[in-house]
Amino acid sequence: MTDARTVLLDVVKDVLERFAFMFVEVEGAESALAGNGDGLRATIQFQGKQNGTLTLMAPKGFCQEMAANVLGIDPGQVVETTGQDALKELTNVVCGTLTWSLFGDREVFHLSVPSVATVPMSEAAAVLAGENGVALMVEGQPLLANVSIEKPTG
Amino acid sequence: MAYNVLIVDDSAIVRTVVEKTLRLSGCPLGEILQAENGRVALDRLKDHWVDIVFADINMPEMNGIEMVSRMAETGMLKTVPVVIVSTERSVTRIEELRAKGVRAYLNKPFTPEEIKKILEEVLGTSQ
Repeated sequence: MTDARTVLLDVVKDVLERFAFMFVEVEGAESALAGNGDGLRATIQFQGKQNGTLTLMAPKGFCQEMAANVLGIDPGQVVETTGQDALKELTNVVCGTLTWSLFGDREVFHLSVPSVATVPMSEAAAVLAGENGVALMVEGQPLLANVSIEKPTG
Repeated sequence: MAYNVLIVDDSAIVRTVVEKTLRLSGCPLGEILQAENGRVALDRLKDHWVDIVFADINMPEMNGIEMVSRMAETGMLKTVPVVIVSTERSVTRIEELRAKGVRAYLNKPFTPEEIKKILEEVLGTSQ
């Protein structure tokens, strides 16, 4: 496991607990990934000492449950856009924490506004491609994360 | 004394979380206003007096830094304290923000106790 992958895993677990009060049940759950249904994929870019992109992907149902947890309401009251908003914010918080954890507290990173798209869960393998992809099971549903970091220039 | 608060963030879920956390903090609150970016926040501030602003950095149309700069150029708004609520936790970045007039910095995610401490520090109150 690369250092970046280990840090990403720790950061996702920590932020999920503190932001959404959700707990990771299984790490390395690639084999448990379901290929059916629609998911949401959120991406954010960071620029600083090194540049890169963080991607998170999860089923729409997970995003709505997360939104319900964050807001303290019933999942049935959560509309789809709120689920999207929750995944974007999770991505934003994970990215801020990740850059700080990877590069230290003196480096300034500029984060983009996160974007989110609906994608089939069958695209999970593409999200996990590369050396830093992680698949987690969180309250019975998969959550995928990956960070690609460009090699430093100069 | 109840405090009027303006929450500025492009994420509706974050604005809701900040408001909910403020209410859980036990601090006396008056009107709580929301805005989805710096431009809308400045519009709100034209006809509403607030005691403190909680603002994100990264927002479309007008980000939190530009909003703070505009407030510093605008009569009475320069005295309204701004607390940045963000995930960008670099010490260098926080020093830069303080130099621009930002009064305090709150890392996401945060607790009611943390937001209460910030309110007490910035507004000079103790509950």
